[in-house]
Amino acid sequence: MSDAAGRRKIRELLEDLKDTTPEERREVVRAYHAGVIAEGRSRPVPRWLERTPVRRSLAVLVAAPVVAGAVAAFMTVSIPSSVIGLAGIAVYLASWLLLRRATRQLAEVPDSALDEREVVERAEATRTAYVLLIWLMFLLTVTAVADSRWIDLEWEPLLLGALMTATGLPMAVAAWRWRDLDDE
Amino acid sequence: MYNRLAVLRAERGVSRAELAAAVEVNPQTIGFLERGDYGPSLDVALKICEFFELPVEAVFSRRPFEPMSHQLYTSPRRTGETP
Repeated sequence: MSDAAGRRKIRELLEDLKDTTPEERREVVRAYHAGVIAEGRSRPVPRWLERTPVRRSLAVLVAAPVVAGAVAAFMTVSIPSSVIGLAGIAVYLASWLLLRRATRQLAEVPDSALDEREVVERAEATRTAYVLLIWLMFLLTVTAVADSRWIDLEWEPLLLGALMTATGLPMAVAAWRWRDLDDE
Repeated sequence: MYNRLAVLRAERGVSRAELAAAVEVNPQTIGFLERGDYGPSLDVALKICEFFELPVEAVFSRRPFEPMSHQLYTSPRRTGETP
C-alpha cells in the first residue's frame, strides 16, 4: 500500500468510526491492524533472500553488535570505539530488516496473525533464543568476574551490543530454522 | 502421521491456497502437511475432512496408506472373493 493510499484509508476509517460504540471502534481498529499485518506478511520475498545460506548468514550477522561491542571494549588501538559500535549497529539494522522480510515477521506479529504451525515454529525459536541468551549472559558474567582482576575493559559498548543482539535473537533463530517447501 | 491431502487436492482440482483459505492456515502449512513434515491439530484435521466431506480415516492415518491404484485394481474377482 502506498503512503497516500494508506493515509486515505485511515481517513476513511476515522470517518466510519464517528458514530460507533467503543466496542465497534475497537473491533474496526483490530480488523485494520490485522489487515495491515496480513498485507505485510503476504509481500513476496525476493528469491535470493529465500535461499538458506543467505538467511543463515543474515541470522549470524545479528551477533554483529555484541562482537563490535566486545572489540570496542577490549580495544586499545587508535580506531574510536564509537566507529566500531556504529558499524555493528549498521550491520545489525540491515540484517534485521532483511530477516524480518525473510521470516515474514514471524518473531514479532501477534499469535492471531499466525497459523498453528507458525505458532509452534515461533515457540521453538524463542526457546532456542532463550538458551542462547543464557550463554550470552554467562559470557558477560565470566567477563565481569575477570574484569579488574586480569583484564581492564570498557563496559558500555559491550553491554549495549549484548542488549541489541539479545533483542534480535528470536528472529535470528527463526531465520536459521526456517524451512521452505523447496528445501529438502 | 500420513495423509492423502495431495491425492485429494489433485482429484478435486483444489489449489493449496484454496484449501489453506478454507481451513484458515498458511498455504505453506498445507505443503508441509502433504510432505508429512507437520502433524495438524485435531481442529485443522477436522476442518480438512469437512472440506473434502470425508471421514477422518479416509484422509489421515497413523500407518502408510495403501496406494489408491492398489485399492482400486486389487478387485475381489482377482482374489476370488464375492463383492
